[in-house]
Amino acid sequence: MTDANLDATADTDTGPGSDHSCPYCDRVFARADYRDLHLGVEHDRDRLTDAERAAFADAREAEEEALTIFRYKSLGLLVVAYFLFLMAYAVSL
Amino acid sequence: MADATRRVARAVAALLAVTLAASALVGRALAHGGSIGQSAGRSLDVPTWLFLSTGGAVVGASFLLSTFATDRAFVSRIHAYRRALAAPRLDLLATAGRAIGLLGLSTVVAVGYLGPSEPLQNGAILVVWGGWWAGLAMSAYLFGNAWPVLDPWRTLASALPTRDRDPTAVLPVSVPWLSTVGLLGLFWIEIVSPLADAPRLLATVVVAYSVVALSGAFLFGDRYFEEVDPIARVFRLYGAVAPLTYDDGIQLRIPGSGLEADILDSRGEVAFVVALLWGTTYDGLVATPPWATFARAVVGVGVPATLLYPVALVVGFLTFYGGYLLCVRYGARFADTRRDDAEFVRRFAPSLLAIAAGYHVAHYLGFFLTLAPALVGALAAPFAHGSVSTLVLPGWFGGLSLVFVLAGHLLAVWVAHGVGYELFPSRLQAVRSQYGLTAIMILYTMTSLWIVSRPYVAPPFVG
Ligand SMILES: [Zn+2]
Repeated sequence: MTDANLDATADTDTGPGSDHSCPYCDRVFARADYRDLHLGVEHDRDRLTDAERAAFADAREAEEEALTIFRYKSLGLLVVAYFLFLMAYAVSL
Repeated sequence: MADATRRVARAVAALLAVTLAASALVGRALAHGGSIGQSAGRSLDVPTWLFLSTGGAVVGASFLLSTFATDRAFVSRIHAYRRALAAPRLDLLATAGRAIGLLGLSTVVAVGYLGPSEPLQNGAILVVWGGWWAGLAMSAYLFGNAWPVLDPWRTLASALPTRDRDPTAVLPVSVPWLSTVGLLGLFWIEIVSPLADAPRLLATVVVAYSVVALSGAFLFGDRYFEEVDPIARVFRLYGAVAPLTYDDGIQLRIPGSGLEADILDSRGEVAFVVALLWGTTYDGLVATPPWATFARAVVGVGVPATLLYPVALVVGFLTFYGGYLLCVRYGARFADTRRDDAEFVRRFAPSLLAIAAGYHVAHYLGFFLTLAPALVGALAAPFAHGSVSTLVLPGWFGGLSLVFVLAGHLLAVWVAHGVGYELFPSRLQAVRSQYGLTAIMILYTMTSLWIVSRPYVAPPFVG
């Protein structure tokens, strides 16, 4: 589970203490791409500025990519666990 | 849109296929695990470590599988699903429910004092332990919470005068914490006292509880039942798991979806949820052979038995509570968020109720079914000393309890998935926020499976 860097591919500022606040509500995010995603997920997309909509689309794309990689990893882990258990059962039964 | 629906359908089909493949393996393990409890002393088919790690792995694997459901619209549609059920004459139903509650209370007190002293013939014992604590509690999370209507003290209190004071202003301690201490106290009384064997004592305890409840209602009105009374709180929380809920009429929802709402207001309410989970676990723990060995050893070196049980209850509670806080707070670090830790602690705690419900049904369904004929018999003829009929359950029934424990955990994983999606804009962030919670869930699963698969022995030094 060391994929913390995978979805940080968008050029975001991840330094400590960097806060990215939402212009429409009082929520604050640790990363700019989280804020961009929040804009598209929680607020009415029609009322966002063009720049915000574009930022959301970019963040969404990066998120999908990272999720795909995460799914492959999960699937790999599941397969490995499945065979480990098969072997464990074969040995101990 | 049709495209999105098809994608969702495909994802669900894939999820089902993988789950089935996984459960084929688990099914085998469980079948063996079930025989552990049934035939103590015979050689075990599956070593305990493998059986327990299989259970833990199922929870871990279901967490990974839940991350495949990444369509926000799909997840929130499942969680928000509500359907109003037409129920004619709810007012009549409620009146009947109140009458049944009052009848139940008066039966327990009258039969407790005057009925047969043999516990399995006494209607008070059977109504309280079989009908109420096993049956009604199960109905609260499997169907819906009927306790606010049935609660005889609430019905009585509604006819009596009240001062309607604010409990938070009057009581010198935190009200949810007081409720938590009350719940732990009830578990303690349930385990150490011979309440399940002594009808007279049970009736006295019920009368004492009535005095407390009616005094509380006199002081605080309805707020006593909503905030202070631990029993009403247990039923309300179990009811949050259920598919039926009352919101301006009876509504149907997906089981567990009530747990994704922000239902806990404070740290004390989180403690109450953990106390409920731990109390049910402890109830099973003290009836295992390793506990008997441990208790005899501890009492053997001079610790009084009367001290052992409450201390173990409190230490276990603090361990579960501390473990939960630690894991959720530590897990929050993976999410890289500016949200407050306290919010995670509150929002993820309701998922533990699904685990508590799974464990409760594992513990009590067999008990309830076994006693059901005796309960009916005792209610039909409360003062007769006839023969007692109980139901004999088939051998495979023990294996079912392992399935219930796992089912509760799987529901909890799904609930946490939904909560994560609600809290975080990034879906990967939502997944990462659950690492700590999933770890503690795996530990809880292994603990419960271990307890459920031990043979039953009566707890030593009690009763
Ligand atoms: Zn916002």
